[in-house]
Amino acid sequence: MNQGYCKEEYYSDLALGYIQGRLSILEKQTVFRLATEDPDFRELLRLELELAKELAKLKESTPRPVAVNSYYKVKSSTADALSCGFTDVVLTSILNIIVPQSAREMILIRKGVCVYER
Amino acid sequence: MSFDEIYARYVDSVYSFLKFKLNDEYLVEEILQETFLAVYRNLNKLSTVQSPKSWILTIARHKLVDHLRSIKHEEVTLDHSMLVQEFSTDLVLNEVLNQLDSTAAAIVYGLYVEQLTCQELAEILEIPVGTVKSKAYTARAKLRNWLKGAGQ
Repeated sequence: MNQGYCKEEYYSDLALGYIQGRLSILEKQTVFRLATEDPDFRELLRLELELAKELAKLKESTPRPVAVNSYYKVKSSTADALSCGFTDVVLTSILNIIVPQSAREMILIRKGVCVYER
Repeated sequence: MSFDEIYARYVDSVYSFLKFKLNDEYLVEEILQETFLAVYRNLNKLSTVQSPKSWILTIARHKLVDHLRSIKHEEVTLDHSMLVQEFSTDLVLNEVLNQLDSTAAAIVYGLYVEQLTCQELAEILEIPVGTVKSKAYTARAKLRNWLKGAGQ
């Protein structure tokens, strides 16, 4: 235990580590030893386990319709963006070849207005 | 990891986190979509992050803050008492969590519900690890006292 690191903090960290399943074998052994030898630690661990049980109630699963709907919205919006990008590249290349510069700008402005209005 | 795998693995964490912060199902769904849209667009960054879960929850938190700003909430630091849902499971627990400040409540949620480390929480909440640790220590002691009192 480091200096300035009080017993309560050490116990608190140890208990949380145990609950989160992050302890090494050696630390777990310390937890078991303290739980049998030290009533303060035993009480703290009991309360921490109870707290973890209470707080676990806050975890909510995504309702299936929400999960499915969100998934497809993300997928479709990215697919739209990709196809728009592809279309833009193709159209711009064609325009560059067949249409004069001034007319090209008019078309692109018109397209921008349409996209905005959509 | 493909987007589908990420979505399957983390959608519940994001949804649950947003539900913890907001009591508006419609808004939760909207922010959920925006979060995963941002994840999809930044998939290339995933290989550079240490913890995908904290990276995704950071995005979710940013989206949440953006939304609250856009609907002209003055308090963009997420005042817990204002935003927290009314937990149907345990109103007493809700009351106790309301007594914590929003950051402390988020830390408690992250530690116990999402099993995040203090380092991960520091990244998500964009505060120093030392602050996370001290706030966690105080908040947990408060909650244990509440449990002790409830048990008597």
